[in-house]
Amino acid sequence: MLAGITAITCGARAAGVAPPIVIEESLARNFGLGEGDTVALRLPGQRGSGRAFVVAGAFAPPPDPAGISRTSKSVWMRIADLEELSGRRDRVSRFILETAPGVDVDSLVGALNTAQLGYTAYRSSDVAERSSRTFVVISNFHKAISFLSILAGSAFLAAIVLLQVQEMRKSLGVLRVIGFSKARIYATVVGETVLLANVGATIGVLLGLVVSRGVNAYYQRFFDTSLVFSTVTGAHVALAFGVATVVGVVVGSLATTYLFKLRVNEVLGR
Amino acid sequence: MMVRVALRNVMRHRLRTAFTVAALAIAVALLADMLMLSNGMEKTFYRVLSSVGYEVRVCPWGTLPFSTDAAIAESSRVVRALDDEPHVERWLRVLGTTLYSDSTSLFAMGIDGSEQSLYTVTGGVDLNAAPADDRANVVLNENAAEALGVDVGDEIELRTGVTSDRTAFVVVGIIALAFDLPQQRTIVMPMDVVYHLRPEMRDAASFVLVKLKTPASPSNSFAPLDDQRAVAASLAAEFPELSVYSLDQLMEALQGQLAYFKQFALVLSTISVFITFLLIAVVLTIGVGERRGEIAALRSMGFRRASIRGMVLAESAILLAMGAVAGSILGWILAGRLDRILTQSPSLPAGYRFFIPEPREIAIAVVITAVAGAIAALLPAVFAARIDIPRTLHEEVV
Repeated sequence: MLAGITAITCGARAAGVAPPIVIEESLARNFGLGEGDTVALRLPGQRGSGRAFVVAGAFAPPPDPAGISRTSKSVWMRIADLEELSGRRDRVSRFILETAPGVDVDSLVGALNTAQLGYTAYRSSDVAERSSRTFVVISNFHKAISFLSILAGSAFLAAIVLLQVQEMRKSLGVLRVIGFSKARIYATVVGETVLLANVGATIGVLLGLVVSRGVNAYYQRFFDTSLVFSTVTGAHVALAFGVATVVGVVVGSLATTYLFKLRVNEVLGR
Repeated sequence: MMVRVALRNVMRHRLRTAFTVAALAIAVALLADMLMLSNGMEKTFYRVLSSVGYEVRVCPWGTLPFSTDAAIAESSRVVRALDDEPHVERWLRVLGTTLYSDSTSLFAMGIDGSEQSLYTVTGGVDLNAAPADDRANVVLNENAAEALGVDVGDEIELRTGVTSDRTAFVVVGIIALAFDLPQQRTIVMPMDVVYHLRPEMRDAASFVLVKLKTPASPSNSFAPLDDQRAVAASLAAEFPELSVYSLDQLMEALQGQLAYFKQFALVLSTISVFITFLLIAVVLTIGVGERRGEIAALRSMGFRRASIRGMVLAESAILLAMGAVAGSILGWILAGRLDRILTQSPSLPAGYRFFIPEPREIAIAVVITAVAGAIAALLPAVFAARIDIPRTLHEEVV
């Protein structure tokens, strides 16, 4: 059972009579607590010096996105000791069941829920799904922002490529005059835009790797957790280069079409 | 004159201008939306706090209202101190617990105070407005009324555990609470009744809300911040085991829990401004390079350097103006869409908003973008003004 703790006082070495607790590693670090130290705990909102407990060890809480904004630290103790501390008897937040091999979990959950005893039974996967719903929403939000970023980047690239084509129009005009086919010029321009877009994507992926490391380092420190906040996967890299190639082809085609609409004299600036 | 030339230059390459404006519009829209995100959560919190109307909150140490199941152990001491405090107009003691109607769990709140503004009665009457018989009065929110299939005047039986004795209550009103979760079934009853049902919680309170006197203002407005802080500090000194928040302290504590979104908004805003800067700088630099001959010709015809600088800056201003108009519309629309995505998150109070479209945020985004664009245009403008006329004319024309 998890208890909210608000007051900790370091005392002398344990005399061996106080009940044991296991504390979060960060709590041990922040208060300089070690195995065998005595601490006094009381519940939030209560007065007095609290009850003495002996630190029996420290634990690293598993990375849990759902508890990311939790500022309080956790301490494990025996239920009987918590009942003594809180004055609340025969109450638990949850039961966790480990089923025997071969048990039909769905049937068990169904049977437990038909008992109508004021609790709801869930499969572990359902709990994980429910508790991660917030992060699915945040992920959708990030995807929407990414989509906008891709749009902005594409428009940016298109403007630059059109400028570049404008700048290159004399050279391209000369190529047309000396007999280069439209297909060859098209391939040259599109090839160049695809190359430009992919160079941008390469820089973007490298920047993404650096930023991703920075984000993890910052938020892991900020939230005091080992959770991984940002990852650059192969799928992300493939998406970046895929989008860059598609945008390069589309923009290059647009620019070439625009160029082919001009007469050779115009292209040559005459 | 130079503005007209600039306008012609911009309109000469419509496709390029369209793409540039599109990219600028997205940058402006993102910046405006991130400003809305940053301020929207703050505004939502303030709206909820305003609707409840209390200036000071007394909670168990280190907690926020209903953030844990911790309780103030001897809340009558706090109430006595509040009665002696000259700035206090009224207070409301609140204790949250779980009760059951058959196997349906309900979030029950016991309240104690002379007058409440914690919730509004949408049907029937409030707790103390109905005559009491041997059954205690309760008020429910819509979710609870629907789940239990009851309405005003009906009787319900509640118990503290599924095997405990049942106690009969009369539903006297339907209520709306500002901070209810979308699916939350809430029931409110007199504090004494909760203490009777849960004797182990006697004299406890989840938090105490305090309304301060506002002599010079209407009764529903907040007391001056200095008064709030003074009362909060005085209570905190008297009750070191409790956390006491004035409105600004509470806002700060609540915002601390949403630091991620604030930082996200800051990072994305910075990127948007950087994109604007880069886009204007690149487009104008290449554009000026492309028109070196034209600019040299203008200079040779007697146009001064200042006029050339003005022309390039005017081009930047025209692009930014078009981007700002399109970006403002896009930002307004996107704010609604992004808000709908984020508000699908469970465990958010009903009516919570992340993005609140406001002309102020749009205006700030436009101003920031304009400043970034103007700075970005300076370098190409100076470059254009300093073109070597004979050499450029020779290279470009001859």
